[in-house]
Order: sequence, then structure tokens, then C-alpha cells
Amino acid sequence: MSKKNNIAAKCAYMGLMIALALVFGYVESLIPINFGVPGVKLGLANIVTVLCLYIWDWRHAAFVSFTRVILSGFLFGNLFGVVYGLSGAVLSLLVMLIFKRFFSMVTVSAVGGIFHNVGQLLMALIIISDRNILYYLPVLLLAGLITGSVVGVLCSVVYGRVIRQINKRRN
Amino acid sequence: MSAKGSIITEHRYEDMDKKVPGFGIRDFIFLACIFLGLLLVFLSQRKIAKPGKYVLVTVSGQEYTKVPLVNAVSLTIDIEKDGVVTNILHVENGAAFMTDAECPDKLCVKQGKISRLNETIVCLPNEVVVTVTGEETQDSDIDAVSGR
Repeated sequence: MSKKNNIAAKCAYMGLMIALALVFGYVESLIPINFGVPGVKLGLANIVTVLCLYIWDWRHAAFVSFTRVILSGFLFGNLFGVVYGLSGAVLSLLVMLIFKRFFSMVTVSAVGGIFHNVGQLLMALIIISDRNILYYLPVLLLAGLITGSVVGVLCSVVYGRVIRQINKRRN
Repeated sequence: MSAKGSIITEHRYEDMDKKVPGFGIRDFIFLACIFLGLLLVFLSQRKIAKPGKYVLVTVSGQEYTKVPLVNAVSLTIDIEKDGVVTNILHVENGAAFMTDAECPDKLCVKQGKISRLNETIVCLPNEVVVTVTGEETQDSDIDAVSGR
């Protein structure tokens, strides 16, 4: 019997990933680093998204990512931020999917971080219609690049140690 | 017995015991280029930033008020949103900063002072944007100028 199709196992894994992502989001909100620009975060939760992307496929990553954004809106009392979070997550995942084919995990994650911020800024642009906030773009891109790279390095370390165990239980 | 395709394009579960595509020269060049490019843009933005003349406050894209930076005022911005929510902007010593806001994240308060041209403070939940401008009127985005 192929455990690969075991729905219960999938449930457990996805639940684990979502919970992990939520905790990452909470922990990073405790760190008092403030970029002063709305929407710039350390993006630690993207560790989970990128890992899911590599361990499984984009469907699993999307599921974990979107559910996490919505749930964290409810959990941490910032329902308003869900719209921005979703737009960032969608764009980020799309771009990561394209880059995954040609680049390594670190780059994919860096690009994901960049476009997460870009997506949030675009959504803010749509909602506020003030072109001046585009002046934030360079800062956002830089921050996204750096945080994304760090996330990518962390991911590659974790991936190497975790994938063997997961594969053992897959088939 | 797994086919020896390029790891980058063939990604089957059985192969994944091997490490994912490592950090190659392609990645390094790509990231370095982006990083340097952004650094350049970022630094030049700060260098060529000129001091501004006015502080323009817009709510939901509409001009709310415009204050010369030389003034020293404490501006109360009232926004209609499920009742009236307030942001408080201080203008003094040639800079503007948000001192209080009735919004969920209060990021606008943490955004610090703005004084150079085109710097902004944004309160996303209340749709308030504070910009430093130098001209008499904004581009053509504003259809009407509301009096204070």
C-alpha cells in the first residue's frame, strides 16, 4: 500500500507545516527589528513555504502558504493585513515556481522574498492609489533579497536533513 | 535505476535523497547583480534627495491638506471609516512625523521623520499618505484642492 497517497499522512504533514509557519510568523513579530516600511518583515514563515515547494509540489506549498496567511490574520488580530499577505504570497509563489527550474534553493527563496514584498506594495498601490509609495520599492527589494537569501540558506540546511526521513515514509 | 537527468529539471521523489541543486555560479552572479543594482539605486536615492518644501497629506488618494515644512503644527487628520478615526501628524523643525494613529498596526508612527523630497509616511489601514513635496501643486493626480 503506497503511503504516498495516505490522506491522513498528508493531513498531518500539512497541518504541521501550517502550524510551523504560524509560529514562525509569531516569533518574527517578537523580534524588535523594524524596517519602518509597511509590509517589510523578516519573512521567516517563508522557510516553510520554500520547504514545502521542494519537498512536495507547488500545490502543497500554495495550500500551506495561503492557509497560513488567512489563519494568521485571524490569530493575530490583523485581518486587514490578510489582503496584502495574500497578494504577496501569490506573486511570490508564482515567481518561485518559475525560478525553481533554473536556480538553486537560495536564489528561489531570495526571489520569493523580493516578490512577496513587491506583491504587497502593488496591493497597497491598488488600495491607496498614491504613486508616491513606489519610492519604497528599492528598500523593499533590498530587504526582500537579503531576508530571502537568509531564509534560503536556512531552508537548504533543513532540507538536506529532513528529506531523507520524509522519503523513507513516502513509499 | 533512476534516470540520470539533470537534477535541475528532473525532480522525482526517488532522486531527492541527493541534495537539491546547489548554489552554483549562476546563482551567485544573479544574486550579486541584483544586490549591487539595488544598492546603487538605494544609495543614489539618498544622495540626490533634496529638502522639500511642503508636506502633503492625502486620504484615500484625495488631497487633504498641505502644510509648509517650516511651520510647527500638530495636525489632526480625521478619516471617516466606521465612525471617525484619527491620525496625528506633527510638523516641526523642517520634518514631519506621525505621533499617533487609530489603526491596527501603528506602523505609520514607527516610520519616523520625513523631510526630504518624496519621502513618505503611510498609514495603510486608514489610507493616509504623507508626502514631502516641493512644488505648488501635485502633478495632475489631484483634481481639486481641498481647503484646510
